[in-house]
Amino acid sequence: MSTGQMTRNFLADLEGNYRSLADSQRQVSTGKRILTPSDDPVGIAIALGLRRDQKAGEAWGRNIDDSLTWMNTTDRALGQALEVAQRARELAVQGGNGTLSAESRALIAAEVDSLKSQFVEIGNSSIGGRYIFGGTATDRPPFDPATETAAAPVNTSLINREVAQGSVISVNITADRLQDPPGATADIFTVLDDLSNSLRTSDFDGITRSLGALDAHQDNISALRGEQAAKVNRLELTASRFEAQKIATGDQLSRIEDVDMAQAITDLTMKETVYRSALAAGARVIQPSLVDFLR
Amino acid sequence: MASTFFGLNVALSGVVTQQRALNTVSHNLTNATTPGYSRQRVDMAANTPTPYPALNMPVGPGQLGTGVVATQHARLRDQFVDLNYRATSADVGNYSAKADALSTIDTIIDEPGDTGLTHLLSQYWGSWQALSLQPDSAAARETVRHAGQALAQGFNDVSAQLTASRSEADTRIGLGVQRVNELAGQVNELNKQIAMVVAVGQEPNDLRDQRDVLIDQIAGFANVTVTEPGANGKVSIAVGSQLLVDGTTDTVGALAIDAAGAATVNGVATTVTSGSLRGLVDIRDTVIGGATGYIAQLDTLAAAVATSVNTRHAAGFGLDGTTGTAFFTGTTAATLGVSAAITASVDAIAASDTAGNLPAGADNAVDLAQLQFVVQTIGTSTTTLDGFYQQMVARIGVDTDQAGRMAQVQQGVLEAAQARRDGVSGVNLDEEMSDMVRFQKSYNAAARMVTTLDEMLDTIISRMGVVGR
Repeated sequence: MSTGQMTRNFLADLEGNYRSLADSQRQVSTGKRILTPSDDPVGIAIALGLRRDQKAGEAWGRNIDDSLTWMNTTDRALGQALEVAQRARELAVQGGNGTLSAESRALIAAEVDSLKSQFVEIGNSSIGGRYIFGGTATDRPPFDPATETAAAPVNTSLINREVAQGSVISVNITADRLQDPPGATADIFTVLDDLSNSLRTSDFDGITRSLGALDAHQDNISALRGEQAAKVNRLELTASRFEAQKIATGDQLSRIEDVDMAQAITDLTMKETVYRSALAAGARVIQPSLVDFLR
Repeated sequence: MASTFFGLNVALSGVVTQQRALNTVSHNLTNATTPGYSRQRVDMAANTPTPYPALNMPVGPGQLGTGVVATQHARLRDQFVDLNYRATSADVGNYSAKADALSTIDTIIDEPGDTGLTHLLSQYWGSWQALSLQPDSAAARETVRHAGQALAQGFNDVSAQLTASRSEADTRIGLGVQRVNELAGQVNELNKQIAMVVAVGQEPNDLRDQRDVLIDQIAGFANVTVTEPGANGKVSIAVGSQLLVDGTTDTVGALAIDAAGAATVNGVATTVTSGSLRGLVDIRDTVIGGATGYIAQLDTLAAAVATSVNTRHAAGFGLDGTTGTAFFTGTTAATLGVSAAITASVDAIAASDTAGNLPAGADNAVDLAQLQFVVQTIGTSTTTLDGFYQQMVARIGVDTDQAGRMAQVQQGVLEAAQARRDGVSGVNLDEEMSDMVRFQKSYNAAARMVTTLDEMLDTIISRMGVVGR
């Protein structure tokens, strides 16, 4: 064996040790097992997919949060609308009592009129300046406070959001559905107008008709609330599924990308020892030759 | 009868030859670390003996040794080991050139990282999701524009870096070819010098060593075949099927590699199957460049992103009522950019699917966000846009990992070949020192012989025939 070869072998071994030491050190200092694609080509493809899912999940989570806010506000408004309808029904029942004086009925009619304005206010509920019953025309009030009717043109478009992969949900109830129950029943403003007129003119048949119409409106608003509640349920379920998924994905990602610290540090210490030993051995082996001993 | 001074000549041959051997030891020692140096050895033989006639016999009873002679300075070298070393060296050149270039790309695409395209794509799709919540918000629109610009910039950057890596490979091919031709010229010069020395019957050991070092270097660049065409010590070197150095005519060919990767010597096609030139050509024309290279794949992805986003985007309506607007411009990774309309005004971003659904209609934004998960035909793959990029990243990872591992394995093989070569040609200080002692002692002994003979002659000259004086 030549002298030069010994040095070369030693250097090659030392370099190998050093590289592996540097690798370990990098893993410990970054806490990551995969820093470039070549560290684990299969792992990285999975990791990138998981990261994408994580990001998409976050976006859907934000969509759900925002949608829930929207729907809760809608539900509150629907609750108030229901109260208005109920109060109108109570007033109709009260006004239908034949013993009442015309003056009393006129007072009741006045309250019915104010209920109308209240309904307009409820219909113009907004979140952050967006009218929630305005369809996609969120920038203008769906009900005109001056005429106390739906503002033309009525926008009946749905506001849709993606809340999970391929799952789109509409979050809004449009003004037309709020004021107009399905079927032949007139819209809420006409019903309240009729009731008010009937009360003023003591038209008992008219009052009775209004009672029926108000029942239909109560049913309609309740149905709308039910519809919203079902969606809220679904969203909450999806949200909790995302939470669980987030943990699972994070866990999986960590298993692929992260370093097992205990093992990494043990490795590092071991490699350090090997490297030191190699240096020490090299220092001893390389020096002596016959040159040192011949005189 | 042998002459009086015969013995002096015998002793002298010893002194001279041992000295020569000592000089060779010295030469070996001083070249112990010279790259490519081959250990030399003085081959000694007993000189031609002379008949030794007896007083009463014309024909001698035996032959008298006439001393020692150095027959040749042998260069310890095994050409089969050289063959093996050079073939391996070419493989190492091939794989390390690839590994070097790929490890740069491995780092520049920055995956998994916060500036990688995976992150930028996620941010982009996410910005459409955010816009779907507040389509009438200027801030949300700004986010989409910004994410779009960042994505386009990301594509531009990766493309520029890949192109730079490719140009670097191209430059290195040029330099490599130039170096091979220079080396070939030097080999040719050495060929001539060696032939001159051989012609006068001597061994040009050190010149051969120098020439072997040059050939080793050429072998790192390309696959070479070395042959000795005549007895004059010259060699011919062929790259592929063509002679680069012609030892019979003392001519040097010019190796060239064109932009398409085809190799020629003096215009005649040949093949470079190994060595760093092969690795670099592969990197330039197949791995990074070429129809299925990284740049082409990135371009395919950029075009797919632009097309699918633009088609969807053009179908929608901006806050300002505009429709038919393209979101991205450009059809390659290098030219991808955000269209002028959107750069000019975020209101041109088409979140709504109809003009009637303004300002809060966001169905188009929802559709655009959903593009992330739409499986489509991209190039030859059927996958999502992100999926296509993930495949590309995985391929870069596999390529880099494989090239790195192959380079390491071949390096190991090369070290083994180097060890075998060292076993034959390398200088071992211990061995040389013991040789030194051996030759020194022989030298001393021969010199002592001269002293002894001197004393003998003194006896003859000074003391003989002094009887009765």
